[in-house]
Amino acid sequence: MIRLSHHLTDPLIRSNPVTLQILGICSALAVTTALATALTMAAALIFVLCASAAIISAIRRHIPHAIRLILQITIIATLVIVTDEVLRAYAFEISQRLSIFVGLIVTNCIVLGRAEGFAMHHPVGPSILDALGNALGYGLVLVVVATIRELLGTGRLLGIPMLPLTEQGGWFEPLRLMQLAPSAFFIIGLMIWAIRTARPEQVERPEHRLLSRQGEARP
Amino acid sequence: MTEILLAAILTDNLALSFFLGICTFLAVSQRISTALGLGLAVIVVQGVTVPVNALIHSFLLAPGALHWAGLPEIDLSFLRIIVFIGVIAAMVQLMELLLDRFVPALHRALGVFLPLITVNCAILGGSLFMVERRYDPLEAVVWGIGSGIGWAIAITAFAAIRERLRHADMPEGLQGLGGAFIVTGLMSLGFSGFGGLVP
Amino acid sequence: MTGMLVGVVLLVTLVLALSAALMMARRRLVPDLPIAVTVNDHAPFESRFGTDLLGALAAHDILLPAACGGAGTCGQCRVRVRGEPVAPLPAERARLSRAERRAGMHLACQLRLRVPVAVELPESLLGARGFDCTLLRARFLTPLIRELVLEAPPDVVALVQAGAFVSLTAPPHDFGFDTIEVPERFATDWAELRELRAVTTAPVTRAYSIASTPADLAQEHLVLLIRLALPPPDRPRLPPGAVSSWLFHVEKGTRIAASGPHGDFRAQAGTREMVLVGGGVGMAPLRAIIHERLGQGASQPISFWYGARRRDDLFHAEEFAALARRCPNFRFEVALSDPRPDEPWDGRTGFVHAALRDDLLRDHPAPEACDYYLCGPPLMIAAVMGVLDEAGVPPSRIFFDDFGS
Repeated sequence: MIRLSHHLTDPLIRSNPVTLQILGICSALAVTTALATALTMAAALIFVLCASAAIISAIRRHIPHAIRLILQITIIATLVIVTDEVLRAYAFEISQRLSIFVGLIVTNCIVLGRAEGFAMHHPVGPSILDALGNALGYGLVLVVVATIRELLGTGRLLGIPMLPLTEQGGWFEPLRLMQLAPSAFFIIGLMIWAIRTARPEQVERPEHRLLSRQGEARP
Repeated sequence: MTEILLAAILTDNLALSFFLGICTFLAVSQRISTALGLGLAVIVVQGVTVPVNALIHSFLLAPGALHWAGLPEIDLSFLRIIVFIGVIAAMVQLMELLLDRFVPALHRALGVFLPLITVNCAILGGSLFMVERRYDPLEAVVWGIGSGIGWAIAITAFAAIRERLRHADMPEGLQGLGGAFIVTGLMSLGFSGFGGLVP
Repeated sequence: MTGMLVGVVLLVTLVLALSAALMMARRRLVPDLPIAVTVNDHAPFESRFGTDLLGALAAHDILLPAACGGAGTCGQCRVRVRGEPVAPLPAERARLSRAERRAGMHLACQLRLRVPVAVELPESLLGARGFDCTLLRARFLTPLIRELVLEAPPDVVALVQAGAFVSLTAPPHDFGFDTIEVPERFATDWAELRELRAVTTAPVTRAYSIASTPADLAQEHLVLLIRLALPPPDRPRLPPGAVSSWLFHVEKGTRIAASGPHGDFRAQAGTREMVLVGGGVGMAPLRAIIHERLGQGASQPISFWYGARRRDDLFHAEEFAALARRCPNFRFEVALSDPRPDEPWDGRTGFVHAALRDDLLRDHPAPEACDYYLCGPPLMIAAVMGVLDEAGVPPSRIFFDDFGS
C-alpha cells in the first residue's frame, strides 16, 4: 500500500514541458543537417498539426469513442500524404533530401497527442491556436539545431557562405562532426542543460543523492 | 545480403543514425530487462511487418505493380504511408493473439510493449526505408530483422549504461534527459565508427 | 480517374481484409474452455478461459478490494497462487515486493486464466460478501461533499476497523442534476451544475472510506463522506462520476448494495507519535482512526493536519477542535490554501504540506520516529510525500490510502 517509488519514478518525463517538446521532434532530428530541410520540415509539421487539429475538432462530436484513434490516425496520415505529394510536386530536390521523414510525421507522438488531448475537447479556433503554438515550438527547436549544425558543419546557412573557410584563405575549418548524427544528440542534450539551468524547477530529481560527510544532501 | 544486414545493424542503426524510435528509446531504458524485452518485441515486429509491407508494396502499390491485374499504368505508391500503418497495427494485434495462444510465457514478457510499438516510428521508418531503397522481398526480410536487431542492441546497451549512470554525480541540469541525450550521442559516435565495415 | 478508383477500392479491401483476418484469428485462437478455480480448500468453481482472476472471483461472489477497477495500479487485489510459480508481470513487479513475489503473490487483476489455478485468500475476504444497507440520513457538509449515514447488518459492522472502506454499487440510472435537493446556502454554487446529467446503463461500483466513530459503529451506523466527482474543468463534456452523482441523488430509506469492509489502511500498533494529514473527503478514514485511538485512551501525541481551499470547504472542524480541547495529546491544525477575502479567517493560510513542514517537521526532534497517515487528493499526497522525504522519514513509516478522493 505504501510505495514511494511512484513519486520518484512517476513519469518525470511526462510532467515536464521541455522534455515533451523535445521528445516530440526526435524523429525529425535527421533533417537538421541543413537549415533549408529543417525549415521545410517545420512548415510541413505546422500544416499537418493545424489542419489535423481543425478537422478533428470540427467533427469531434460525431466521432464514436471506440474508433477515435483509428480515425485520428487516418486523418493525420491523409494530411501527411498530401504534404508529401505537394513537396514532391513543387520542391522535388528538398523532398528527396527529406527522405522518409515527412512520412514519419504520422507517428510523431505530438501530433496525435494534441489531437487526442486538446482538439477532441475544444472548438476549432482554440484547437488551431493550440496546434500552431505547439508546432511553432517544435519548429523553433528544429531550426535552432539546424542553424548550429549547418553553420558549424559547413560554414554556410541556407547554402550561402557565412564564415570564411580555410580552403578559401579564411579562418574557419568546418567541423565535419556537425554533419553526423551524434552532433544532434549532443546539441539537444546541451540545450536541455541550458534550459534547466535557466529554469531550475524543471530539473529532474535524481534517484540517488550523494551525501557529503555530514549526511546532508549536496546542494 | 551481408552488406544489408551489417548496414541495418551497425552503420544505418535506426535509433543512432536516423533518430527513429527515440521517444521509446529514452522512456523505456531504465532497466536492462525491460529494454531487452522491448528490443525483442521490435525485432519480431520488424521482422514480420517489413516483409509483409514489402509484398504489399511490390504487388499492389508500386508504380506498375498492378501489371498482373491488367492496370500497368497505375501508381498507388502515395498510399503506402496509410497502408503500412494499418498493416503494422493489424500485425501487432495478430502477433499478440498468436503469442498469447502458443507462447504465453513470451506474451507475458512482451505483452505490455506490443501496443507501444504500433506508434513507434522505428517500425514505420523501417518499412518506408525498405521502399525508398528499393529492396526486393528477400532483402526486405534481412533488412527488417537486421534493423530490429540494431535497435535492440542500441536500447539494451543504452539501458546498461543508464543503470550505471544512475549513481553518477552529474550537474543538476544534466540529470535524466540531458545526460541521456549526451550518452546517446556518444553511442552514436561509436556506431559511426563502423562506417568502414560496409562499402 | 481509374487510378483514384483503384486506390479507393484497394484501400477499403485491404482494411476489410485485415479486420476480417484479425477477427478470424481471434475466434480461432481464443478458445472457450472451462477453467477450474480453487480458493483455499473450498470446492473448485468453473470460469472461462482468458478471463482475469479478479473477475472470475467476483462472478463467484468473492469480492477482492480493487480501487483501480482491475488496471493493476492500486495493488490491492493480492492473492497467493499455489503450485507452479508463474512469472510476475511488470504491473505486479511494481506493486509487490521481491519477498511477496517469491512467496507466489500475484495481483488477481493481472492473472489471466489458462490452466486450472488454486489460490489462497484470507478467509475474512471470503466473508467480505455483498450486503444491503439502508440510507438513514444524509446532509451536505460543503457544496460538493455529502455525508451519508447508512445502517448496515451487525455482522458486517463487527468486522469494521478504523481506516477500512466499503464498496457501494449504484444501479443503472438516468437523472438530471436539477432533481438533486440542495440546501439554500449552496444554491449559488450549484447554479451551473444544474444542467449536468448522470446516466449509466450498467451498475457501477466505487469504494468509499468509512468515517464512523466508535459511537457510530455501536449504533451499526456506517458514516461515509461522498465528494461529487465533477468533470475536470478542461473537459466539461465528460460525464460526472456515476456513483457519486447517484449518492447525491438518493433519498432516505433507499437500499444500497455494498460489499466490504476492505482495506489494510489502519493505525499501527505501538506508541509512536501519529501524524495524520488529510484533504477533502480524505478526512474519512483519518477521522475513524483518530476517534478510535483517542477512544482507546492512546497517550502518544497525535496531530491531524487538514488542508482545505476555503472556509466553505471546511467541515467537522468544530468536532476536532472540541476533541483537541478535551485530549491534551491531540492537536488539530487547519491550513486554507485559497481563503476568500470576505470570509473571516484568522488561522493558517497556504498548503497543508508547507504547514506540516514549517510547524511540525522543522523543529521535530525525530521526524523519522513518527507514523504518518495520509489520505487526500493525489497532488496533496505527492507534496506531503516530498516534504516527508526531505525530513528523512523512511517510506516504511508512511501509510496512505491511495483511492478515496
